[in-house]
Amino acid sequence: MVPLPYYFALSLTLFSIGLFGALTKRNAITVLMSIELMLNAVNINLVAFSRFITPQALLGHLFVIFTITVAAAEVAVGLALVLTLNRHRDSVNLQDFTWLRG
Amino acid sequence: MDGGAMNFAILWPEIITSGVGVLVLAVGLLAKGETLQRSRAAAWVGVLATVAAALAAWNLQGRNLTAFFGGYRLDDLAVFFKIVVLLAAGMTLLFAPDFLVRHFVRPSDFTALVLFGVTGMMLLASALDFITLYISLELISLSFYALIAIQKGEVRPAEAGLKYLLLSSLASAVMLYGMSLIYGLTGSTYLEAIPKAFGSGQWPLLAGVGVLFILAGLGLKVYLVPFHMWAPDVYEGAPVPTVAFLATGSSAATLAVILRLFEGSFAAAGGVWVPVLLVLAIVTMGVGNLMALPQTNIKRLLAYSSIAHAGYILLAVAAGGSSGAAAVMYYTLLYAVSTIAAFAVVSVYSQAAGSSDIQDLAGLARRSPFLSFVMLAAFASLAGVPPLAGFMAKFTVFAAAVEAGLLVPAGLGLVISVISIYYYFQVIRVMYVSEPRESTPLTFGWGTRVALLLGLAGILLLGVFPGPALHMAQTAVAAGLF
Repeated sequence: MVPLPYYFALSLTLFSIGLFGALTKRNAITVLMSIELMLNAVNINLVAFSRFITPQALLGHLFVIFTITVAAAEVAVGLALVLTLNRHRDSVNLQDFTWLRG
Repeated sequence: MDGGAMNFAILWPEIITSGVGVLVLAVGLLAKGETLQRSRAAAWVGVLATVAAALAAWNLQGRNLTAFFGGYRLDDLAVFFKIVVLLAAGMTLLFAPDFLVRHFVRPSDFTALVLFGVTGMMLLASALDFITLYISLELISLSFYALIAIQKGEVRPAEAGLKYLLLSSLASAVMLYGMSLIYGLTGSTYLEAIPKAFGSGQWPLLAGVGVLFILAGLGLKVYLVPFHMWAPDVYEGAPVPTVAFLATGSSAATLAVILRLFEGSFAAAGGVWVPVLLVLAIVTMGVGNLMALPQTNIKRLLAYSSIAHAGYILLAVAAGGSSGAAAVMYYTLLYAVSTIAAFAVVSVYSQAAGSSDIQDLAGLARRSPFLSFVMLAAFASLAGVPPLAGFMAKFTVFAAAVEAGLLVPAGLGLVISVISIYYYFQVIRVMYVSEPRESTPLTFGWGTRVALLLGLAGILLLGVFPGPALHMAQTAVAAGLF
C-alpha cells in the first residue's frame, strides 16, 4: 500500500496549485476550477487520513460526501452568476467587472 | 460518544424556520396570479416564523445538552446567538418588502432565502463537529449568493454575488484544508475531542497551521483584515435588505462558532493564534476606521464600519476568558440592533433618492424627523456615545482586554475608536445641517416603522439597562462551550 506521506504530498501540491490559480487567474471559470482543485485536495486528505488513522470510523469518508455535494451546489450557483454577467458584459474576465476597488 | 440521542425537540427553532421557508417558496412558485403586492404577505409570514422560532429558542434556555451523535450542542451560548440571528432576520424581513417591491423582486423569494439562511446560522451556533459546522456555514453562504444577486436584470448585484461567491468559497476551501489537517492529527472531527487528543502537551506544527487556516477561513465572514476586501463592494452592489442581514446575521453566527473553536477547542494552542489574532484585530480596527473617513457612499461607509466593529469584537476574542466571551456576545447583539436600524433608514432614503450617496441624506431631519432620529441613535450607538448600547459594548470589550493584561492593544483600540466619532457625526451633520435638495416628506410602510421602532428600543434599552443581556451572556459562558 502507498504510505500516507505520499497522499499528503499529493494533496499539498494540488492545494497549492489551486490556491495559486484562484489568486492569480482573471477568468471567472478558471478561478472556480482552481477552487475545485483545492476542495479535491481536501478530499484526498480526508480519505487518506480516514483510511490510515480511523479505518473503522469512516469519518473522513462521510465528510468527503458532504464536501463533494456542497461544492457541486456552489459551482451551480457560481456558473449561473457567470452566465448572467456574461449576458450583460459579454465577458467572463474578472477585470471587466467594476469590482475589486477595495 | 455520549449524547447520541436523536432529540428532535431541541431542533424546534430550526424546524420552524426551514419548514416555513420551504412553504413560502412553494406557495410563491405555485400560486397563480401572484403579484408583487400580494407577495408582501410572505414577508409577514416570515416575520411570524422568526418570532415563533425565537420563542421556541427562548424556551430551550438552560438545557445544556448534546445530541445527534455529538454533532449538535444546545446550550445557552447557542440560544443567545440563535435569538440574535432571528432578531436580525425578523427586522430585515420587516423593512425589506418596501425596497424589494420597488426593485421588482418578489418578497416571497427573498423571505424563503432569508429563512434558509437563518436556519444555517442557528445550526452553526450549535455546531459541535466539523461536518455540521461546514454544512451550516455553506447553507448560509449559498443563501447569500442568491440573496445578493436577487435583483434580476441588474449587473451590479450579480457582480457583487459572484465576488462574494468566489472569495467565500476560496475561504471555505482553506478552512476545510485546516480541518482536514486537524482531523488527520486527532482522528476525530468533534470539537471537544481536539483538546483531549493533544492533552496538555505541545501542539504539533501542522495542528498550528490547521488552526491558522481555520482562522483565515472564518475570518472572511467576520471581516478580519486582510480578508475584508469583499465587504465594501458587496455592500455597495447588493440590495439594502440583503446587506443588513449579511452584516449582522452572518457575522454573528460565525462569531458563535469562533468562540466555540478558539475559546474551547483551540484554547490550549493560544500561543499560536492569540498573537496573530491580536495583531490582526488592531489592524482591522485601524483599516476599518481610517478607510471609512473618505467614503461618500453610505453603504461603503457602513462596510468599513462593520470592519472596524469586527476589530473590537476580535480583540475581545483574543482577550478570551469568560469576560472576553461575554463581551463578544453582548457586542454582537448591540451591533446587530444598531446596524439593522441604520440599514432600515438607508433602505427608505435610497429608494427615494435613487442612490445611496451620503449627500442625498441632506435635510433628512426636515423630510422625516423620525427617520433621522433613528439614524442619529444608531450612529451615536455605533460611535460609542453613552448612554446608548454601543458605549456599554465598547466598555465591556476594553474591560475584558485590560483584564486579560492586554493594556497596549486596549489603549490602541481606544485611540483608534475615537476616529470613528468623526465619520459617524459627519453623516449626522449632513442629515441635520445641510440644505435639502428635495423637500418632499419620505413615506414608508408599517413594516419599516415597526423595524425602526424595534431598533430604536433596542439601542436605548440595551444601553440604559445592559444588565439582563450581559447576565444572559455571562451565564451562557459559565455553562461551558461543550
